[in-house]
Parts: sequence; C-alpha cells; structure tokens
Amino acid sequence: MTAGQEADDALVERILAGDAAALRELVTREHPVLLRFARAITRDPELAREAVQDGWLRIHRGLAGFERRSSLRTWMARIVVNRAKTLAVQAARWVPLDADAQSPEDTVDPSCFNAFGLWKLSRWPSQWNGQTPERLLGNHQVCAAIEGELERLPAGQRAVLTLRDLEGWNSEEVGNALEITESNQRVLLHRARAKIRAALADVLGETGVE
Amino acid sequence: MSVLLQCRDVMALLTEEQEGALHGVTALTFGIHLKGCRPCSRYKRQVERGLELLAALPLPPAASADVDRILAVLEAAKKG
Repeated sequence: MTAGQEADDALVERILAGDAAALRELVTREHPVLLRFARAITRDPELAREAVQDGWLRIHRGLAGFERRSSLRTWMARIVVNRAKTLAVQAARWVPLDADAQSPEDTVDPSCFNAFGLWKLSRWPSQWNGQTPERLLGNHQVCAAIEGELERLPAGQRAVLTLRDLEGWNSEEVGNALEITESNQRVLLHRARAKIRAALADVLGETGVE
Repeated sequence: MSVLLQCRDVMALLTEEQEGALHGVTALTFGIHLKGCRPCSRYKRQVERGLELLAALPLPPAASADVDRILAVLEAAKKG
C-alpha cells in the first residue's frame, strides 16, 4: 500500500467516525478533480455541478462500503462519471463521445510533408531549446494556451484525455465508463494529444531547423 | 502502407505506438524510423512534453462556497 493510499484510508476512517474536519478535507481536496471529470463528460458547467453534488451524496453514503479495489479517487471518479452521464442523457445532452472518431482528421498538417511523405525541411518541428518542464510551467502564456486548448477539445477527446492522461485510468476503465472502444479511444487520444502539442507550439514556435 | 514507414505514416501511428497497439513488422519499422528521424522524434517528444505540462498544471482550488454547499447538502441528507 502506498503512502497516499494509507493517508486516504486514514481519512476515510476519520470520516466514518464522524470527523467533520476530515470530510471537509476530502471535499476540499477532491471537489476540483471531480468537477473536471464531470465537465469533461457533460460540457455543461451547471450539469457538471449537479453531477458532482449528486456524486458527493453517493460517495458519502457509499464510503463505508468502499472496498479499496481501486484508489479512493478512482472510486469517487467512477461515481461522478456515471452520474454525469446519466444526467446528460436525461437532459438530452448526451451524444456518444466517440461520435466523431470515424471522421477523418489530420493531426499534422499534410503540407508539412513532401511527395514522399517525409517532413519538408522548412516544416520540421522546432527544437524548443532550453524549455524544461519547470521553466514552461512558470510561463503563464504556455499554461493558458494548453489549459485553453483542453477546454476547447471536443467532448470525446477531452473526456478520454482527462481520464487517460491526466488521471491515469487504463483503456479498459475508460471503455467501461464512457462506452468507447479501445480503438476509438486511441483515435480520440491521438487527436487530443496533437492539439495540446499544437497549442504549445503556437507559443513556443511551430517550425525551425537548427 | 508499405513496410517502410514514412514520416507521415509514423505521425499517424504515434498514439498506436504509445498505447502499445503496434505489433510485428510495423512496430519494428516504426522504432527504426523514429530512431533515425530527427523531426519525428522531436514531434513525439513535444507531444509528451505537452502531456507532462498538462498533468502538472495545478487545478484551481475548490471555492470555499462550493465546499460549504456540498457539506451542507451532505449534512441535510444525513439528517433527512
């Protein structure tokens, strides 16, 4: 068991013993994460808030039955994701998240390649010299660009990217929660990852040969 | 697609490779291409860098009004 899981276990025990401060701690810590899940599913801030509130009720009621077969966060996220889906269906806002996976979409501009399918020298991705992650995280323009791009992603791409790349779910978990096949998940991930990279390139420079 | 992959093919297969979905000759030629191709390997690193940054961005903290509202709802449900 990791230190994080041990801390979560202790927190759960305190909540089950009626410790109000522990419950506040959990809500304060996890609410933004759960809201991000719900927004990725519903793409509607109000519906997302409702889904998370309903989710908290279910989490609180079900906490005694939490079997620790996954992390606490994953268990809570599943509850909220399911609730968000249900509410979106009821509000007739639910569209299959992989609806656009079959339509063609280039992730790299075809004009970047020559007739042989090789990168044109003038279109090589630039080198981003000296741009360490720490330095980039201190660059507000960079952070705003990639956060903005995440917001703009189509629903399916955003949902899959959020669960797979930001929360570390595996493809089976995402498939079960979102009803998206593994191959369609890869299509959506491919497009979403390319768009995040492109947003970064818009700030740092798209092309340039050293 | 021929056995030899071109940059355009490698870019199209990037996520397949990252997800472990390439097998056999395609996986082999993908790896060979990437090893010898500076723009493709650079693009791949940039995708990975984008994801690292996205994962490292802090989420805005929960608004205290939201936390209070949730706690009030939970308290009401407990009593009701």
